[in-house]
Amino acid sequence: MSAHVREKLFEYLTGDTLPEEAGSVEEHLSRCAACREDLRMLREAVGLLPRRGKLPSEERDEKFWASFPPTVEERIAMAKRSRTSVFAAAADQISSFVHFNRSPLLAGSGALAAIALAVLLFIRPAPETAPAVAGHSLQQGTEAGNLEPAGAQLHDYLKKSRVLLVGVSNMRTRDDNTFDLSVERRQSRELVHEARDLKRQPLDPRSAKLVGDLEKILIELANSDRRHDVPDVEIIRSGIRDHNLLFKIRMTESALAEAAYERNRQ
Amino acid sequence: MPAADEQQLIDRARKGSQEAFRVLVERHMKHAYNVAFGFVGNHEDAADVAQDAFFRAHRALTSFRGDAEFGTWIHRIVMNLAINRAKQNRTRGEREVRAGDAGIAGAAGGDGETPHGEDMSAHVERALHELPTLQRAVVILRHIDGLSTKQVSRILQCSEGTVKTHLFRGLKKLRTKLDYLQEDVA
Repeated sequence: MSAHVREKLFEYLTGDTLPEEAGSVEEHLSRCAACREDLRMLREAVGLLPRRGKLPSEERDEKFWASFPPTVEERIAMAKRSRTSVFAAAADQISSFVHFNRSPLLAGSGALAAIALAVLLFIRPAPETAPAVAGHSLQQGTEAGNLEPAGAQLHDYLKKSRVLLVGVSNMRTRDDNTFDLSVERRQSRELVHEARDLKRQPLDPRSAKLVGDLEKILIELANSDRRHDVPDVEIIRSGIRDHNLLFKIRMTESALAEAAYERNRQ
Repeated sequence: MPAADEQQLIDRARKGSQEAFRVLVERHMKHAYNVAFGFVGNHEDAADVAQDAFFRAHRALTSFRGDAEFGTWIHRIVMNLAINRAKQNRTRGEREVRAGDAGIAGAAGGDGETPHGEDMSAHVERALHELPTLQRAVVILRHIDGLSTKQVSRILQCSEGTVKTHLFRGLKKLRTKLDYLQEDVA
């Protein structure tokens, strides 16, 4: 028996086979029950399938094609805008610090401190017990004895949040231009639970506000799709930037480290 | 090798000429769209994938060596993105017929009339989208879009024999799936 003709059956069905080839297909079919069965199945499948009769591109109107190149250009421009440099981010944090400390003297020293901190941030990760930034400490509205357990919990929470947010800020897209946020979602959920617990603890107002701001971003992350497109992740990133969360976390961590250092010294 | 004028356009686009890049996009956008549609099977995703491919091509223009046609290069990018998108859609369970995008299902029967009513065309659409990515692409491009085996093999950058194999397997699987789906409804 000659070789099966399965792969020629579609063209045989649609009449695209050359006459001499059609003859050999028919000859094979007359002797081969398996290929006859395949032909029957193919005929049914082809009968059920539509034939478009025109290309997909022909189904789109002129308006669509006129807007196609500008849409591509818009994407290119958007990507350029979203590539904020490290320096721009540092400048943003410094300006926020200046805005944060309204007194000119404080603002000046704060800006210097912020520059030093920004350099530290982008050159190497600061050690967890780094010396505190001058002029910034936890408010003394609550007693140190009350703050201590909450302080340790807050420190741990801030550290984990910082690692997570740095990861999201620097995350690169996959080949298909999406982000895989499955790990970040899980961590966010855990941190949201921790935040709720922390909010029941005695915290100074600034830390409490930071925990609240962080919680909003973490909830957004926790509720996100497992895979995110660039614009969705940009919204989360802009939330991190707009609230200067990474900077505030660093400042609070430094203040906590300073408070711990002072306690140990006493 | 790209044609001389295309090479000039690529060179100008590399140097930042938006106008040159626009000409490249205009030349290849329809073909890119058709390739994308072959994989994703709906207009919305096809448009997004094709536009994304040009965006990525622009970003990677400096790495384009020019030893192949720009068209071939862009189609390869489209194909990779479209395969990923098709997998994502499958993962996300977006296999259902998209409202307002019944290009395939709505045309079932060739003249808009479905032999078995609307349920059948929805089944056909669903079964088609459940096929493995390459088989679906071949079935859509070769049978539904009516491209020749040679054209499909060039788009997918594989041999004509491979196209025929995928087509046969795809159609056979489609028929089996439809049997199953019909039983499910009954």
